Amino acid sequence: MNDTEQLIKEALNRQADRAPHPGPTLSALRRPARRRSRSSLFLTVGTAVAAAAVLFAAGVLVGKGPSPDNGAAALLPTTTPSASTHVKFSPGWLPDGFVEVYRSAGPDGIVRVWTTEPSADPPFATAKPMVSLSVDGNPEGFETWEQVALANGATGYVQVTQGQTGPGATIVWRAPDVLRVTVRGVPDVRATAVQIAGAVQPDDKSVVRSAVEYQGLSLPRVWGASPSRWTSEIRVDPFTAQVSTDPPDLTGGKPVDVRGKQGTYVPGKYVAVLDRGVWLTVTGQLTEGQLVKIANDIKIDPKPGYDWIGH
Amino acid sequence: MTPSFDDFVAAQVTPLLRYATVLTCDPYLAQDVVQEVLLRAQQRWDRIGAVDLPAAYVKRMVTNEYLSWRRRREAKNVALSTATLEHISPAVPDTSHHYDEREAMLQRIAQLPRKQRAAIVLRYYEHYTDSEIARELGCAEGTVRSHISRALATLRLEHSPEPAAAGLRVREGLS
Repeated sequence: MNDTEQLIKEALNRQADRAPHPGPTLSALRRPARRRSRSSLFLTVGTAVAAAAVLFAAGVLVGKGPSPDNGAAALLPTTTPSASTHVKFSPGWLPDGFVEVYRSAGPDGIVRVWTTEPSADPPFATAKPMVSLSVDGNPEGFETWEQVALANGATGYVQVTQGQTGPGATIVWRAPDVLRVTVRGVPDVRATAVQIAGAVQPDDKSVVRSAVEYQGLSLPRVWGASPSRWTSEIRVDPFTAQVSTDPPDLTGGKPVDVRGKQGTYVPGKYVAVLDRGVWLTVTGQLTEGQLVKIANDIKIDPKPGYDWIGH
Repeated sequence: MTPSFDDFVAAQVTPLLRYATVLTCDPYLAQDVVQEVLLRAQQRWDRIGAVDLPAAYVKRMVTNEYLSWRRRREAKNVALSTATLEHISPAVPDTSHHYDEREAMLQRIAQLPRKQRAAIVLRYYEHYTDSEIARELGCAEGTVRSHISRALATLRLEHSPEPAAAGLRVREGLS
């Protein structure tokens, strides 16, 4: 076995270690057929994505754009997440130096992330110190973890694991939503996680708002380094649309008319255009014409007010 | 003796989820695929449980489900879904300096055409022979060798530069 083959083998084994916990799958098999769904959030998002996929197939692939008054589009108001989603909870305490860099609402629940080293890239998969707070994540299986009494009176379940960047602590509790705090990159991850969890409070004001919307659908996912340097993304199979203050790599691209402006089509990758001071990029395994049509149909908000980034 | 469906699932759900995660490069999609397959298997367990190797049969159902899955993930999504994995499954111990290279390799594997990726997974994760892969994918052994050869050529080409970004630029220049 040569180096490449060895690397492939190692990479695949690493990927296997990321398999989801079997709990949700086992639960789905035990439920009666009419109740099979992963969670209400999954149902909402899944239905919305399915609706968008129907609209997409009807409008983009066939070339007839769905109108708001047709039958399929009429489904959207009841199934589409709003452009703004309340994050529902906030930490009442964080270690010194941590600032918020990420918010999302989607199939993986509501997620907020803080770090001490903000950057323009998504905050995961790095060695940076990180605190995350998730609502309605993947709660199965935590009952076997070590129980711990939280300062707010709840019973939490904590687990410390050794990651590639050092130890990380995860604590899960019900409030009554299932909340999860994950901490890494600080001296005592367990104690810090317990302290953060004990100080988490309901928050009916903070929201995550998408700066990009397609056919009324926006599953907000936002990250950045500051209120003036951010990226907002939605994923609607089979494409991903991003609005960002940072330009994409246009190497190898060719001019294309999009949104009434000169944009760039990078073959096999994406269509990008600068519109009202922000970059819209539409990525997917689609033709140039399909990507352009999607880009034309997308609504963007160049000033979404991401004042929470970096604070 | 035919195993009960519950016993089968208890023994096989984790290996199936691991296999599907490798195959799809996406744990959420893997969960969907495995759940869908097991629900179908549950309904037909009288027949499936009676075959010689039910686990192999259901694994092939997972492979077929993946190959026919309509939802396509762009490479950019893979990077993010990898990132969100820490919310599903905490990182495992790893002190190897090859970490970044493996992550870069995963990105490249995720960009392979589906049948090439499936062939690579069956060869290097499941350690199947060419004939076993051919049976799994429903194609000739020669086709399997072609899939693997092309995939390795792509992965070798893109593996050669040190930084991941440089590898992407090489490919862009060639396309």
